[in-house]
Amino acid sequence: MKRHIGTALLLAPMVLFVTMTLVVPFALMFVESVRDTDVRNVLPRTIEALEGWDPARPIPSGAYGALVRDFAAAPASEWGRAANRLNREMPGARSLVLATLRKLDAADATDPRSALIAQDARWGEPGIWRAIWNARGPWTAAFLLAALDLERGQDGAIATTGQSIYRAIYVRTFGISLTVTAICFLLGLPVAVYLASLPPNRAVPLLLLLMLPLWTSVLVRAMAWILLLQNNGAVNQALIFLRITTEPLQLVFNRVGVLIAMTHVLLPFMVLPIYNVMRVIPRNQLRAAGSLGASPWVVFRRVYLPQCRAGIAAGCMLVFASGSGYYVTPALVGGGADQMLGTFVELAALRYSNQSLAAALGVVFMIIFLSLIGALFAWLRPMRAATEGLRA
Amino acid sequence: MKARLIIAALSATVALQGPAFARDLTVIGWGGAPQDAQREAYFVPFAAETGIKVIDDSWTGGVGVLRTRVEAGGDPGWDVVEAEAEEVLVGCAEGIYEPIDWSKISEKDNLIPAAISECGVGTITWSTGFAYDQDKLGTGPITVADFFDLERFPGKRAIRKGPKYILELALMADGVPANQVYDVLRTPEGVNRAFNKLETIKSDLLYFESGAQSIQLLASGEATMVLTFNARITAANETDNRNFKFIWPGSIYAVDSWVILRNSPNKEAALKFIDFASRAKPQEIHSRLVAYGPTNTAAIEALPEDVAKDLPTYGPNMEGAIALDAGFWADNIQALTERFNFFAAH
Repeated sequence: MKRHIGTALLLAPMVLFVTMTLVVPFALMFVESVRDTDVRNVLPRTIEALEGWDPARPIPSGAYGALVRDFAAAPASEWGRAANRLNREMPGARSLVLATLRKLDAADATDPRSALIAQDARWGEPGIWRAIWNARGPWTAAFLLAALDLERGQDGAIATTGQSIYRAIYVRTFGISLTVTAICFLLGLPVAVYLASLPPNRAVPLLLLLMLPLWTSVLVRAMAWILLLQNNGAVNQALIFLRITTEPLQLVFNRVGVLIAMTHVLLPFMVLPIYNVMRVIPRNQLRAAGSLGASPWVVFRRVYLPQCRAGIAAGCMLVFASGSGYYVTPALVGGGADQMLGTFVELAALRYSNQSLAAALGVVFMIIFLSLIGALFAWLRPMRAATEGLRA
Repeated sequence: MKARLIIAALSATVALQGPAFARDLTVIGWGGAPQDAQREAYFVPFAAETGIKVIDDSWTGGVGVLRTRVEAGGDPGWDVVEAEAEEVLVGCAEGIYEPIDWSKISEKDNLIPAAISECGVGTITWSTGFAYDQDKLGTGPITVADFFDLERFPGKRAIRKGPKYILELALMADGVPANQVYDVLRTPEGVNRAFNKLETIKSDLLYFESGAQSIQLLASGEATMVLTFNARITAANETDNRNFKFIWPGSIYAVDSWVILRNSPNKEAALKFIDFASRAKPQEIHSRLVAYGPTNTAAIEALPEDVAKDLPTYGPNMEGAIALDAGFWADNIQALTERFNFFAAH
């Protein structure tokens, strides 16, 4: 009993930390992706007056008065978010709302409809009211749909939007990440094999060298790669000097630059897990297999490599997971067509101030990502059962 | 005994954090050579005169960035920001800036009209346009239309990652007279026309975020022609002995203003700083260091010919140039930014 309490106490800080930094933010992100309270917070009376409204029918008469009262109630400083939210439903709504808000007098409550239409004729048309109705909240699927390039039409049906923005980005993001994983695997496996064959005192300094990219700032790394890979950079000058090519190759501000820069920093994540697993493989197994008549290649393929699968799986998952989230490096060393999902999350969150869309992009990304990781895990499970037997 | 020592050390650490919570006045510029000039002309002399410490940092624009800071609630982290013309308008309408208390700005009567607005105090007149390396492309004359001519001038083109300025320049390159650019741009056909023009050079487009990157791309030869800002070209020519040329006809000039973010804890210090930066002498020093025009008329008059000739406000430089239509961008920056990012990413 005492041991259980002791264990629980030791684990408690980590559990608390993971909950606060992982579970809670994810939960908040899910909530934010469906939250739609910007308009509801400043137009409560108007939304109540529009209760049960069918946008095909005329505007309820009480709505105008409710709007004027809402305008009078909240100060202009709180209207930014609501105006922007409405603008997403109806382009032009932002300036319409903010302009009317400033010029409208509370005394116009006597005939709110005429007063509003006198400010701007659009208040008499259903457009802005439909926008308020669509943005009434408190929750909506609109942002999640937008993150999948879908939208709910007037009739309520879900259809693809005209501009396919994000689907191609998901394909591109995970495509780049998988490519980088594959390159890191091809480059990292031989390195891990070599390091595992060295005694620890020789391997550790080499491992430290391998981890050097992790100790530099991401911006410094990106700038260094630009300097090396640009048209008159060191790499191109070397290639031309060695007569491998006569014209400089475009190695940066395109996909090549992105792959090079990402592999550079993610390679240690592939090598270290594989190295750790390889280190504990008993050497006498390999010698035994050789003495039973297996060639070096067969020993490697059928005795050595299967036991490394856990390490390979860990390395691949680490590289894939890290790589999927990269966006600063691709933004700096890549071209316009190499931007990954993170760029769009940043654009939505910071530039467009559309936190809900940013959260929705994150939710869709997480679902796709977890599916891919789950598939990788499931694919490797049977292998692990096989290696269990081998070790016993 | 040991436990008491540890507790005492921890308490001391906590107590020492106290003064650190009060934030110094934070002024945000656009980085690079222009900000170095601001530091020398404004930040350091202001701190020396008033004893108020100034921390300066840089940003790359976008009212959404400021919106996010203010709407997050509490201290926005930044106090005074140098904002572009339509960023001032949009943010003011949304209430994310503190209205300027003009009674505290002593030089109000000496400022040019474009520098006076509800939420902003104008600080510089600056120009955006195309530039190229004369050592590589010759002495020209090269026009705005040549930016889109990949046959006569092959090579990459670098532009800012945003729709402002490039859409106007694309229309001008497509033959729209300068004084009709914004009328055309207000129509959906006009916007499509501008994007179609950009589409013709899309495969050779590079994007940069900061002004300094535009100069770097031009200097390294990575880009043959770039969209950039006049003072950066002047600075590169003076400090790095470059032979860059800024294309003045067709360039677009605008006024940047200091704004104060709402809920800033350093409002009084911010107003004092803006007042200092609006005086004639600091502005004169600033314009000698970086080729942006002052907003204080006394400073404009005090500048000699050899300095004035690089400024956007100089007569010959204004021929063929147009003023930025801040109202147009205030209405359309959001939608056109989204469309531009979609264009860039696909």
